[in-house]
Amino acid sequence: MHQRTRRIGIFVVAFLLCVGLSNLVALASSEYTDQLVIYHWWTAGGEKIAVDSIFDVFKAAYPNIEVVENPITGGGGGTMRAQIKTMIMAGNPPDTFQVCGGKGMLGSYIDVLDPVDDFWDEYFPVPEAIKESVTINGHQYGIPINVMRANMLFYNKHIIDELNISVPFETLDDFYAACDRIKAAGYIPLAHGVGSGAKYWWTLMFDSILLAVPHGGPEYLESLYAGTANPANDPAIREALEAMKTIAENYINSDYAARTDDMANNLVVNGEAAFWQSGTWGKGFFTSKGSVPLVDFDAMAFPGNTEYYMCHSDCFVLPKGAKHPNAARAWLEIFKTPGAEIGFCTAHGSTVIRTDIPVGGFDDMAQKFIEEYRDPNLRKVASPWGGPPEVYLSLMSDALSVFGERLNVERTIQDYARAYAEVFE
Amino acid sequence: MARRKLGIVLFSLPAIALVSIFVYVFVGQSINLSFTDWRFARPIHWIGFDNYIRLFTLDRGFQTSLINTVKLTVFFIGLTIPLGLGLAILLDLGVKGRGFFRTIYLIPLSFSFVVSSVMWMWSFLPESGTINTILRTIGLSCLAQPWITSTSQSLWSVGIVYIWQFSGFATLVYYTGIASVNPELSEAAVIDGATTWQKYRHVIIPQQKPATVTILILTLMYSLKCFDLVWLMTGGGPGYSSEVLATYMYKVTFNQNKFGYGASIGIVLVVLSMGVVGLFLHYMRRGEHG
Amino acid sequence: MVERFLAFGKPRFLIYGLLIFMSFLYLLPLYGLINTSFKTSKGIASGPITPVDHLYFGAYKKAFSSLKRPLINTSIIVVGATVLSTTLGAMTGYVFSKFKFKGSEVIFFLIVLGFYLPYQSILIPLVRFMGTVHLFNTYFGLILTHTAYGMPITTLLFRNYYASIPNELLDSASVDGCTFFSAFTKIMLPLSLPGFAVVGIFQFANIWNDYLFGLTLTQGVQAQPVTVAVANLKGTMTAVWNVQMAGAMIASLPIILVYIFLLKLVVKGLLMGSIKG
Repeated sequence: MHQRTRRIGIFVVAFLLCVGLSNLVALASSEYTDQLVIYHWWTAGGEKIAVDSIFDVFKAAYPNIEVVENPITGGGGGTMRAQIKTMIMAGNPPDTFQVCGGKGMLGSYIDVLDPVDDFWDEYFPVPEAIKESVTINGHQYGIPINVMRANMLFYNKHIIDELNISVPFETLDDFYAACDRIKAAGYIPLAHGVGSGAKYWWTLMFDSILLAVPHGGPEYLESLYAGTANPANDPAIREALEAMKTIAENYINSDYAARTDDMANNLVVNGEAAFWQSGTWGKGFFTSKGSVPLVDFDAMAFPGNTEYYMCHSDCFVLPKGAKHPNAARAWLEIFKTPGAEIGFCTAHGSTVIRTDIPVGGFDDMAQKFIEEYRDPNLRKVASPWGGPPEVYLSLMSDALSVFGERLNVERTIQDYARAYAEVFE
Repeated sequence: MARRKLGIVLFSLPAIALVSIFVYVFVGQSINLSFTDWRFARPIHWIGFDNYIRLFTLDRGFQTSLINTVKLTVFFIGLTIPLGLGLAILLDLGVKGRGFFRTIYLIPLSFSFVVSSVMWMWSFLPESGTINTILRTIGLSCLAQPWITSTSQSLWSVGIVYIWQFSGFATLVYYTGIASVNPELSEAAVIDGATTWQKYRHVIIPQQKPATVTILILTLMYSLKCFDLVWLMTGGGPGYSSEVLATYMYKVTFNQNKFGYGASIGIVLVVLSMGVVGLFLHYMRRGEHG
Repeated sequence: MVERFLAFGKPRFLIYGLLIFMSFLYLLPLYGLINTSFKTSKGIASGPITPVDHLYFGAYKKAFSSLKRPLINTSIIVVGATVLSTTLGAMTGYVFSKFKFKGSEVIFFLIVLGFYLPYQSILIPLVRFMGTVHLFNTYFGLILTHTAYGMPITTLLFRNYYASIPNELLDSASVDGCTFFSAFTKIMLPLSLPGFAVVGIFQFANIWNDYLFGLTLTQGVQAQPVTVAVANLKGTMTAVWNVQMAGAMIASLPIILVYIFLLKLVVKGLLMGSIKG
């Protein structure tokens, strides 16, 4: 009895200590005069090193502002955005948060954002197409730090050289022919991974194919993202579904539903598969596993996409009603600077967005990416992460993932059209 | 008598107050929301029962997720209870190292869903996963399955992970229940000539009703609300094959930004639970009087 | 027949065999976890099944340095919430198991029903409420939240547990002059040891592994629980599996220790309870 009473006593004391400690936590941050509550999804690896480099610059410039950093991983940024919405609607918006730059995505948040025109009015050497992508009704709503090309195909250089395949592929038919040869040689042509709920990789493949099919192309994709297309009747959708059916039936690994995107990348790194669709962020997957750029792996445009630069940027925004707007503005100011961009993009693997930054400091593959970005002959097109409204990615990915299973074109056209109507209703 | 009344009020007040606020006040706001068409960053309009009507007539995703939830519930409960009871009986038969085994069976419970989803994803890989690789090595490659990559097996595969995670606790509850059976009763049965099997079947197992009801209520909660494992392992896929009520609600609310419509799905879930829990508690109360 | 078998020890092998086989099944998925936690970043590409050729501890070092503060946070929150919810559950379970008053069945039903609330549907009111009472991003805010949502199950478990304690015990006690309160402290509590341990194990594991409330109600590392921190060991557009798996191992070790400790209490309590006769 006494021993038990003693144990209970210990628990009670421990509990009281805990409650008491909780008040001490609030007192800890008293040496700062301001705070920056910031949300992003760069949680680990190269992304974390990249964002930490900007924080270092920021903290050095503003030592009196306490940075309350909230990295949230998951769902390709979706989990972070879910948290943001909860906060905003509970009346507690953060000071700033990360968003993919694009008319549709920013348009989904426009009612809760303040414009950032004054940052753009000051010197900010960025191509007109990028500025246009963050402009809605004549005002800008985001400050980008980088640009990432989404319609790329990475490949295992050893396999391609061994089979003497000529790249890039101007048309989808060239791609199919190469895949047949790769398959005959005993390799998996295209590594694909939509595991762990990441169904949006289907949408990336589909939208890239849309740029390549006869009735598709950049104008069609733009109309699709703007809500003016008619998927139930447009021939482009049918052509793209047929193409995706060909690819899904013949050229991808059978366990794509269980493999995550990065595990699909393993197949290429290990020499089991030849191709892997990703954006320029895919470079980091290879290098972190010891693959050498331009020696073990390389990247080219997705088949049929050689003239189109499908891209989006990582932007930060200014929410309405934020508790520390001055800190947020200070952050956006730092975010714009060349120093921040170079530090970030070197670690992150994305492309610097300012055109006045010299390319010399970047490695060969990064330089190649920068040249593609700055090439005026490549037409810039929005990507599914930025161009269409936020809900597009989730709704269309569901419809397309069903297609991945059943490969029924007619049925999917209806599913797709229905999902499309829901996006824009 | 007054002391007793004071005691009742004092002891039950914290629970009642906490549950009233954190459950019922918040649910009230959710109910309110379910009668609107509120989307993120858009104006809000009252639309009465339209959300509910749409759920049950037009929404195929909802209907699929409802059916999947029921399937998962039956599978999960149907296997966890016999497994927990069986292991508890085995332990009760008097083996050395009981504590060791009990701890091992509880280990799955010590992992958060973030981690167990990754562990099992790796185990379920058809080509290079743990399960199929072992099956092939011991010559049982005929048993190797596509697991979460197939539309027909993805739901059951997720169910297996839930069983793995919680059956250890069911074992513990049953073990505690079996061990607290009055030893005189079981001794009396043995003296009357019962074999071990009969002793268990007629004396010990029937006494496990409260334990069974407890586990039923627990497992029912996990299967009705199950979200994290499904979301992190399959995202409801491939296609909609493993979509359950909670993941569908999350998708509608946070990915499609339909907060009003999503709230109505949540309310359906609560009402569903109400009916089932009501039945259980009624059954339990009858058992006590009997 | 079974008796003879048991005496000869043959089915003993069967019993042990089954128990060991089940242990193997339960521990099998951990292979990928442990294996990956010792790999280098280059080694991850070989997949989770290929065994490591040499043990690399860098992932553990990195994980530990990120998890120091969150581990402290979770410990405080979990101990606080477990103690509070278990104690309140015992008190409330006592009331509803031994005393019938007008509406007691309905109130009990409503309390237990709270267990089935889907938490995603009340996140916004919850955050708003926490902001109003200035408990957002504090330890106590999380402790209160976990306690509130733990009340249904702790009340149910204790009520069931106490229902199996015969009423005659309490009746004879009140004849001897015990009040409501002393009956609780002198009779119910001493018999509650297995109950506290079982409920404690459940709440401890539940709250330790909570992700949703930890994510929604905290900002920064001040009060961030370890589940959120472990989740963030994986990148969004990169994958650092070895560090995340190492972090998962570190985060689950404390619970296993708690199990061992609390299970001892269960055994002790059962032994005591069996004397009651």
